[in-house]
Amino acid sequence: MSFSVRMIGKVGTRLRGSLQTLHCGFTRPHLATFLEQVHHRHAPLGSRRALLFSTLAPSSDLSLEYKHGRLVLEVPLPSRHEKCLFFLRPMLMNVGDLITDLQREDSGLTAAVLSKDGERVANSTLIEALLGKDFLLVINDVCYNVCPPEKVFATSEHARDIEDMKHVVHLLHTALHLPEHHLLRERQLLEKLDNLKQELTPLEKMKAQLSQTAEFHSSRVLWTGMALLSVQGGALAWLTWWVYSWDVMEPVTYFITYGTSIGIFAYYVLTKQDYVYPDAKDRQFLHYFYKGARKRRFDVERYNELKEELAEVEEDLRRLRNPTQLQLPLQTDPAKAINQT
Amino acid sequence: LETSKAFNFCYKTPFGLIRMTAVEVPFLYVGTLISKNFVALLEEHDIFVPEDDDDDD
Repeated sequence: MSFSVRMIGKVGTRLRGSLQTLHCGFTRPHLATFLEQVHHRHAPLGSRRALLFSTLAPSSDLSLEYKHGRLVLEVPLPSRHEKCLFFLRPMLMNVGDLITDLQREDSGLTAAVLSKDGERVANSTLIEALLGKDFLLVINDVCYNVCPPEKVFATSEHARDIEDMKHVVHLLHTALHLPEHHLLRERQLLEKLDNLKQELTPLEKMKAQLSQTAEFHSSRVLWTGMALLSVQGGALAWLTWWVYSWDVMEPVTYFITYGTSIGIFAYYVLTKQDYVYPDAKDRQFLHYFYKGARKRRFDVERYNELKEELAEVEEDLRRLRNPTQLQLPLQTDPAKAINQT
Repeated sequence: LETSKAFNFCYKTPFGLIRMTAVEVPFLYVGTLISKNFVALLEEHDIFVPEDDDDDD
C-alpha cells in the first residue's frame, strides 16, 4: 500500500515538473514545497543545483560539426519544435553572442552555457575556448550535451611552458654565436673544396683527353655517314640516268628506303632509344668514352662522386656567402663580395 | 651577377662548307664507280641486261 503511494508520488512529481514549462509562474510556490518534500524523502535522481527539477530530461547530444569549413550547431527550438542551424565563428563570437542569436531566433527561449561540471560559462568567453572540451547547452531548462568535433584549424597559441623557454634560449645562443659559426663553417668548406680540387686535377686532365678522343671518334662516325649517303646518291643517280631507266630503278629505290626504315626501328629495338641525330651521336660518344676509360683505367665512378661532392660544397659556400645570411649590406660589385669573408 | 651579353649558342664547324663538299663530291664519284662495276657484273653473268628487258613495247 505504501509502495503504491510512493509510486503515485513520484509520477505526480514528474508530471508536475513537466507541467511547469506550461504554467510558468503561479503554481511554482506550491510545487516548490511539494518538491522539497519529495527531495527529502526520496533519493534525487541526478539533480543539479542550478535547476529546480529533481530529475533532468535525458541529455541528448546536439550536433556541432564542420560543414564546408564552417562550424555549425544544430539546435532544436522549443516553441517551434524544429531544428535550427546556427553557424558559429569561433574566433569572433562569444557565448553572449550565441545566446543573443538563439533568443533572437526564438523569443520564448532562455539559454545558458554550462561546462561539463555544471558551472556556468561567462558570456564574454570566446566560442573557441569552449571547443576544447564537451559543454552543456541548456535551453528552457532542457539540458543538451554538445561534443565539439576534432579541431580542424588550431591556433598556434599554446600554454607557456618549458618548450618556450628552451626556444628563447636557443634564439639567444644563435644570435650570440652565429658569426663565429659562419666563419668556422666557411673555413671548413674552403678546406674541403681545396682537397677535392686537388684530387680532381689529374682526373680532370685524363677526362679531358678521353673526351677529346671520344669526340673525334664520334665525329668520324658522323662524317662516315655523310660519305655513305653520297655514295648511295651517286650510285642510284648513275643507274637511273646513264644505265637503266627510272622504271627499272624505282622499285630498287623503294626497297632501299624501306630497308632504311627497318634499320631505324631495329635501332630502337636494340638501344631503346629514339633514332634522332643528337642522341645517337651522344650515345656513340659515350660508347667511345667508356671504351677509352677502360683501356686507360680511368675510374669514372670516383670521378663522378668527386664532382658531385664538389658541386655540393660549392652550393653550400654560395648559400653561406649569401648576403642575407651574413647580415651584410647587399653588394652590387661581385669583386667586393668575394673579398669579404 | 647578371650581365646583358648576347651569347652565341649556334655551333659552327670550322671550314664547314669546304669540308662538306670535300666529302660529298668524291664519294658521289665513288658511288658512280661502284654502280658501273655492278652493272658490268650483272651483264657479265647475264643476270639482268637492259636491252633485253626493253623488248616489251
